[in-house]
Amino acid sequence: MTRRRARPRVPRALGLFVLTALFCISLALFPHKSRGQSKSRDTRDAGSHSSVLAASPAPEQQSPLAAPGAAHGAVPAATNPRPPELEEEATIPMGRGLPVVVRVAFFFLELKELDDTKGEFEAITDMRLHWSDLRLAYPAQEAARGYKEYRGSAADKRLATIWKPHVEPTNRLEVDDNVGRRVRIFPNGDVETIERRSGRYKIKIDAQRFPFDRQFLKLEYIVREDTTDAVVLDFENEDVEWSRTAKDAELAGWRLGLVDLSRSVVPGWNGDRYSRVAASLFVDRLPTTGIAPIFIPLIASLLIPLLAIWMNKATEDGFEIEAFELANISIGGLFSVIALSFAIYSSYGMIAGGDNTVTRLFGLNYMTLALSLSVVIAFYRFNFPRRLFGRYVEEQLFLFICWALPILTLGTSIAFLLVAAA
Amino acid sequence: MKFRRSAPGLLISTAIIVIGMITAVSLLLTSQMLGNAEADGFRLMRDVLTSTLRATEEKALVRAELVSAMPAVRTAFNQRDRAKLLSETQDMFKEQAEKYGLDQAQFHVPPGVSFLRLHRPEKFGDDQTSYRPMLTEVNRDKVLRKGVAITRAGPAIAGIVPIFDDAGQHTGSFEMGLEFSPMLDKIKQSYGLEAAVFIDEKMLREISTDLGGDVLTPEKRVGKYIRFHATHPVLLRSLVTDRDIAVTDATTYERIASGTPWGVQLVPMYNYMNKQIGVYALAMDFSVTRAAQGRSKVWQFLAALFGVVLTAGMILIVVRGLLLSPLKALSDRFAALVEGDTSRAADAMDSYCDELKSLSASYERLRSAEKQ
Repeated sequence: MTRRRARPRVPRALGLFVLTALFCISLALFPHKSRGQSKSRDTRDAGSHSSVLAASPAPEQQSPLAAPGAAHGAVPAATNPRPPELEEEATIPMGRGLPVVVRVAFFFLELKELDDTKGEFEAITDMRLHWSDLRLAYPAQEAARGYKEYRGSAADKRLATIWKPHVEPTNRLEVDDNVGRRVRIFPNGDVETIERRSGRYKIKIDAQRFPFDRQFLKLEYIVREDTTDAVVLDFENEDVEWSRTAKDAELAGWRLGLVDLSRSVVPGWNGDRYSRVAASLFVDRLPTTGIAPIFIPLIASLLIPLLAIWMNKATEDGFEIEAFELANISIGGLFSVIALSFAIYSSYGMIAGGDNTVTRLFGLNYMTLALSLSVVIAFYRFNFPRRLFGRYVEEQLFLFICWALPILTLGTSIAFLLVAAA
Repeated sequence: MKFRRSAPGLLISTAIIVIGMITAVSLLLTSQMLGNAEADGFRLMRDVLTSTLRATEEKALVRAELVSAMPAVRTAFNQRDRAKLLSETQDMFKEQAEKYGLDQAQFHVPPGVSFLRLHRPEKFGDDQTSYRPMLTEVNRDKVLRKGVAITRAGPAIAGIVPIFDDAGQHTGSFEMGLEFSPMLDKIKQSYGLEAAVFIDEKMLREISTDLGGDVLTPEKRVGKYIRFHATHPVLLRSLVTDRDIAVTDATTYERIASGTPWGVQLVPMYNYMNKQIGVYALAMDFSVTRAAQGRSKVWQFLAALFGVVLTAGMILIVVRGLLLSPLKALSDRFAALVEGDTSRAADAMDSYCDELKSLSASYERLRSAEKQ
């Protein structure tokens, strides 16, 4: 300790100086935009990510032609020198008046996973946007195929020079950095972009009808930077036809349904409204997947309290078996139902809360246990029926409980399942 | 007859019949209520279609009247100056087509010859009187008309107004035709109904020669019709098939598509001459009412089961527990006593109802006497 204090302080200061110098050199050598780009998955929502991708140029895009972030004049012209005509092209197109109608369509290429416990699904989807920008119109003879097409990095470059709607996902949790993008510009100024992404989306799980439930895999997009006065998301018949799942798409444990598009308006501050569009693919759970792990143990556990009743026999003097022996069965049953509920709720989190078939069956289990324990105490331990009505009534009452309780319990559990299936 | 079996059997059977009848009536009432709700759904579909169609026709007519009333347009038309007429109206047409689903607009000279098609300016001079009765009537009676029409450019909801010169002489007519798609999309957006329009394929092939090739495809053929527009083509394909579409009157039916029950309402589409030219199809998701019906049935059956079991239990406990079992016990004791067995005492008095207590007391007295 003493020796350390005695060391001269010059080398430390020198080290600090060298480090600072290196840092300054690195600042000068490497462009700002190439730093801090995470290669990992984007955990922010889609909008910010897509805008970063669209607006962040590759090193070769540093030319005036590819100046980034010009949409809505977000970046001052002094820092991004570009020809005035391109600056103009990157502002909102008003050739056909406002609001600019952006048609949206979605295609579910591949469904990787539906985690109903977390309320998330992962899929590769295509999003098609279509709008009109008369400033991009050109003579038809310039495009042999009827349109000019840009793919991959060329598409990114082209998009950086024109106005594009800032369509952001509202329920995307993660997105893969790999993006497939295609841009088509038609002679009449129509622009069509298709973006392919693999992402993870948050959805609301409604497990009330479990295991006969239907879930909606929803992709929800919104335009936050412009109100409905400027940009409106919409779809037409062609977009509805385009919005579907791939023919070979499948999701383990689920039956795929149809894709439906819907549009809505989100209220903002001071009467602002924002356009939103959603594509939802409904999927029906294959009920057989829940039978073995959930319903067989649940129905089987219903037998435990019934055993506590069936095991005994009424005699002239009371009952054959002592109350405490059969109470043990009920208490054991209670613990087994609690353990089963822990096991099921930890594996299937979405059914832990709320009203659904499983919680109802657990409720029935607890109720049957309570009834059997009541029978054990009232009949076997204290002989209340015998004291109140005599032994013949007690005998008949016990016989009645022996057959009625299983019928009613079984009937109720079947009813719970049928209600869910209805 | 053994009272021990037949008496509870009779009582329990009666209870089952009564509870069964109450349940059946209750199920019937519930079913009727939900049936009425679905019938209201079908009625709503018809009303929505009628009102939306009428509103769209009005829209077409209002626009046609507005354009034909513009002095510059009237002057150019009355002077038969096609180029000027086109320059006056072309931008308006493009704007309306892009924003509001305007499909076609056309000026005619009497008796019904095309003078200028704004949607296809290069084509004119053809006489349409043979297949456009509405147009013929407008130019003959000089009154405005509206309705569904099949034209060269395809089917549309049209409004046609006569045009007069400054002297009040009839000089021709102007027509505006709106697309079906915005109308059906509006129905879906406002009421959540899926909708489709089917047009007679033969008529389309004969009259609508300007239609694009993507309309008359085998995939869109349903019976003798072509699915011209649908809010959800995949769904409508399974809801309206070749067997369903051949209707001449408003028809309703229910169908399950992709696991969802749908109520489908088909309404014939007539042209101005009341000739059927197609079919409108509207579909409403009935899953909510069907699920409610199913749930209601299950709960009612369960309630009936509880009712039967509890009633049967009560009957057995009362008949056997309070009456027959004590009576049998006393009877057995009396029989033993007759045989000289005085060892079996009667049960405690609280085991018997009041009516049997005197019998039990008599048995005890007899048994004591026999012992002595």
